Amino acid sequence: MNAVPVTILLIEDDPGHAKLIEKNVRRAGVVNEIIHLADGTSALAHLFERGEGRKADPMLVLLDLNLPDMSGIDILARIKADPTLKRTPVVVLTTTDDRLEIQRCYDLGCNVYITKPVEYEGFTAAIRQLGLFLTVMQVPEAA
Amino acid sequence: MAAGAVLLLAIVGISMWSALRTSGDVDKAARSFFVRSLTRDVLDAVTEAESSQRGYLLTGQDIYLAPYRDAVARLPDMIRSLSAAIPDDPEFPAWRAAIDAKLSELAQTVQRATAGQRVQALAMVQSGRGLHSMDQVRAIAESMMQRQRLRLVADLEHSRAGVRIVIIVDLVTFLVLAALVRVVIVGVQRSAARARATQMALKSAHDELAARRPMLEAAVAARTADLSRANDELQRFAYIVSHDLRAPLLNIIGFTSELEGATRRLNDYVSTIMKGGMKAGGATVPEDVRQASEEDLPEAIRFIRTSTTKMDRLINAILRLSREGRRMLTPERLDMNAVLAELVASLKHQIEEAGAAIRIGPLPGLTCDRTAVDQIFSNLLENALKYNAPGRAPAIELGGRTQLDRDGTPVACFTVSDNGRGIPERDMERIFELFRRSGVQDRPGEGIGLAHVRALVRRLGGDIACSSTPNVGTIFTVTLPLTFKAAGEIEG
Repeated sequence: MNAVPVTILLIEDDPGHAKLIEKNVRRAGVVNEIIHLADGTSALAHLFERGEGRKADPMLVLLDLNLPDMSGIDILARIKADPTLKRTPVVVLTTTDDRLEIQRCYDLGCNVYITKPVEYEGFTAAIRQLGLFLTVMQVPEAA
Repeated sequence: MAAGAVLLLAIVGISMWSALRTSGDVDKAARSFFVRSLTRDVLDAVTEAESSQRGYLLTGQDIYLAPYRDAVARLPDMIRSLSAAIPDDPEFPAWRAAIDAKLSELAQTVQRATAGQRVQALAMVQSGRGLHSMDQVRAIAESMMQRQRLRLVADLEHSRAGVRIVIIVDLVTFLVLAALVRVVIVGVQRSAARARATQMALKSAHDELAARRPMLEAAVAARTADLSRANDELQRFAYIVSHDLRAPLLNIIGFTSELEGATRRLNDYVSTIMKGGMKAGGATVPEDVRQASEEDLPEAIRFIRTSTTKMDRLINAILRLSREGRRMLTPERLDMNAVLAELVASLKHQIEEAGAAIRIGPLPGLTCDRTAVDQIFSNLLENALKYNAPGRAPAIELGGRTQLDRDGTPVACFTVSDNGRGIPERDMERIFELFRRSGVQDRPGEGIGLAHVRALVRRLGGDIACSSTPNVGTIFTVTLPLTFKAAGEIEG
């Protein structure tokens, strides 16, 4: 793993989904700290209101688009527009499979877009593959 | 108008009556005139006879007696005529008597003179008897003639009055006719005015309609836009709902999976203990715990799984329908014979399995969205293959023709006929509804196919109808515009 431990920021409003994602990521061998945020407001607070401290820990964002208080796309746009956070990898993990929505996410700088498959086998397989992917992924140092 | 006709008839009656009456009056006047002149003639004849008698008595010459003889010969006829003409004249009998007396005096004197007794005859004249009767004759004649003159004047006056009545009647007739003509003219004018007014009203109504047409068209356009928006909203709604339903479903499925894994581990452990317990005679597992671990938990999980799988299929179906509704349609020229031949080829496996015979008639070409058309006919064909009558191999016929719709626009009309189990009358509408099916549920399916087909057909601007006889067969009739116009597609 990386020299500096990478934190995984899971922005997901559905606690069940969050739990299932965490479980399956862990089964793939990922041991990094996972911080779960259940809505857009607290996610933005976590990302932008921690002052100097945030530069210290490199992180990876797992983002759901359907949040109760805002669209995940807004959070994605804020991250990619921020000079400090713009290189942070963002994996969009959501139920929305609208073609235009996917395009918009990639246009905004999303690194990976994964549709949550409804069949559970497909879902667990996808999450585990994501976990394997996360274990080998290089996360840039925070600028 | 009827009153005018009655009036006119009355006037004609009066006119005829007064004309007849006038003609009677004129007759009467003419008779009075005739009577008067006859009276004078009689008086003249008597006077002539007297003069002739005097001449003869004075001269004794026979030649002077000729007028006397002539007058006496004429007088009886004349008096008879007069008596017939004025049978009721009060003086006539006296006059007649006077004339008779005169004529007898004349006859006596002439007779004496002829017999040579001229002196005696002259003496008779001198006696004044003759003069007296002549005066009487003359006086009565004058009186009669005076009366006759008065009557003549009265008759003429009467007939003049009759003529006046005729003139007045004619005048009245003229006035009435003039009035009638006026009434008719006014009536004609009025009806012409009414016709003009009606025409004006029609024209103004027409103008108003013409003026309102853009408004009406705008209203129709607005309504269409509303409907289109409502439809879009519905599509969006279906999309969002199906997505939002997916989220909790994912949890149910996910945690059921977790539960299954945990149960398996529990089960393993229970089995191990039971085996170990039997071997070592140590710890035992209570029966209800064993039952919970080996039977109740797996059974509950199985039921949850069956239900979530079904729910998943339904949500996916809604999602597919809503996505199909939002898909951009791209019309292209389609040779329907080729399209359906390809479809039949893609269903080769099912066709062979069912032992089906499929006939494709000549089909009209279309300009339409290929995928939508494929989906419509593959659904209908699959249904025809799937719902055969028990023990009868499917015989399916695809037909088509061009016909005129209600607005007179040419449309393509396709029929898919089978010899299958048929659909009862009460299910004719049901079969097109989402998740609804008909008849014996012995074939797999969710009740989505025909709902999808109808949604597609309608989206293409067409319609689908079904007619069926149970145990004989079903005919689906799909009507599509010859050229699909992607109206309002851009908005969606």
